[in-house]
Amino acid sequence: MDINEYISSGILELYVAGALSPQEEQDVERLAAAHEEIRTEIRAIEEAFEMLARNEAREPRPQVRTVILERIASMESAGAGEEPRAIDASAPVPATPDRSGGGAAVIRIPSRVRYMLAASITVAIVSSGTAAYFGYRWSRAENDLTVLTLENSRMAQREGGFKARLHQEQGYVAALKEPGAVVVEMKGLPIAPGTVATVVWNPSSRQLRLDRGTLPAAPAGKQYQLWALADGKPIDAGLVTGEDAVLLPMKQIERAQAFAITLEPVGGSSSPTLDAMYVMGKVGTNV
Amino acid sequence: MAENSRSTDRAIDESALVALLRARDRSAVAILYDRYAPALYGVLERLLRSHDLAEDALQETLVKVWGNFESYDPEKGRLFTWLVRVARNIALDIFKSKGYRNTLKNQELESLVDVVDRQSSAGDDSDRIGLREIVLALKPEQQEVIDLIYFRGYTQDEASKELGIPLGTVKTRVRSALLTIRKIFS
Repeated sequence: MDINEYISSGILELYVAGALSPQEEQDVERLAAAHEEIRTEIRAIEEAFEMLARNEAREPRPQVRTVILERIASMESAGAGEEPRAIDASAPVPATPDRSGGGAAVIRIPSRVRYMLAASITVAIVSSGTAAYFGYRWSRAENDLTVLTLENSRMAQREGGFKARLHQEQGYVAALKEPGAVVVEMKGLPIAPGTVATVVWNPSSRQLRLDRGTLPAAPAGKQYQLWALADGKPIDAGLVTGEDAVLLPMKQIERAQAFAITLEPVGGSSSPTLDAMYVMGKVGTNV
Repeated sequence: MAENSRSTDRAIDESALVALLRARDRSAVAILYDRYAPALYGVLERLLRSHDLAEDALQETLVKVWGNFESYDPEKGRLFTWLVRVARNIALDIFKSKGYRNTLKNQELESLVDVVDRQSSAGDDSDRIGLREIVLALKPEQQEVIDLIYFRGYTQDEASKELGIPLGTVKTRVRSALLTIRKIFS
């Protein structure tokens, strides 16, 4: 078989990724054992993959390191046949007290005590590992709780928003259903083509409400003002406040043939600035 | 415990680390962690799409690596390749588990919370080649196949089905993508 062709087929890249079937994997390993070029190529691919993965490495939270190291440490010391390194019980114990050290005698711990000491250290190590592990779970649980609390408050907020909105919509419907209510749609003038705002006016109760519709947000230092036009004279019908009220209560108006909105300095004006008139609608033309 | 202090001995090479792990020298665990955990965590996070699950999987991976180190054969490949394999198998088990879907439901919020966490812990990126550089060098179809095969644990058959391309094309795309990556890092 042609080794170069085999190498350039892409199978070695899949091998390194672990994307081959066990059978195919064995084939690659058999060929790699026989051909130096294949082994070299596999190394090069592995190095590239490692570089790629390192390039996209992410640092886990610092406590993960502690937990893993302690878990492995406690696993090891609790394991069968493994004794804590603190007391090296596997080292051969001299049959007779060591006197060779010129007076510096090796302190030997009697075997039963030694065993108990070893056991207690094992317990200490295991439990510190366990504590770290549970501490970690605890911090995770806290994290989960934070997420759930956040989610909960978000939902509560949304529910509150829906309720307020529903309340406003209900108010709108109620205003429209009032006997004698007149709906006046005000259409955009040349400075605001396409803009629409609506008033719901009840001449008998004098109640006037505004749906600001698609009126753009007022620029800083400016405010919209609603006017009722009666017998050719403008009457202040109130300032447009708030951004999102569905139906804004305005001043009481007894008589009007038309309504209009102008943009005025904050606080409003005593008479409308005509060249800043955004929308206007006549009563009775579009009901 | 001594193992909990940051390992300063980063100079030892891969074969020395393997020898320590074989000798069951516990000081090797800290070295292993410092050297490989971030890269493994990156792979796991990409696979599981969850920081929490990736941390769990990282823990299981290193515990398993320590417990089964004798099954690593340096003749067959680099340590990292084997570590990723162990990690990927653990991640795939988690992926298939029942709890996985439930965990993912909170992802949007979790990632929101974690963005704040991570902003403060962003590491030193100075020796990283920008992802952008790799992205620019790879064609979209090459990126796609690298992502599936190397980071998401797809077999060649699964990748072929997922992408709707023949097996041969999967192979040639992976090959050309890896050659490009090798050029970037060389």
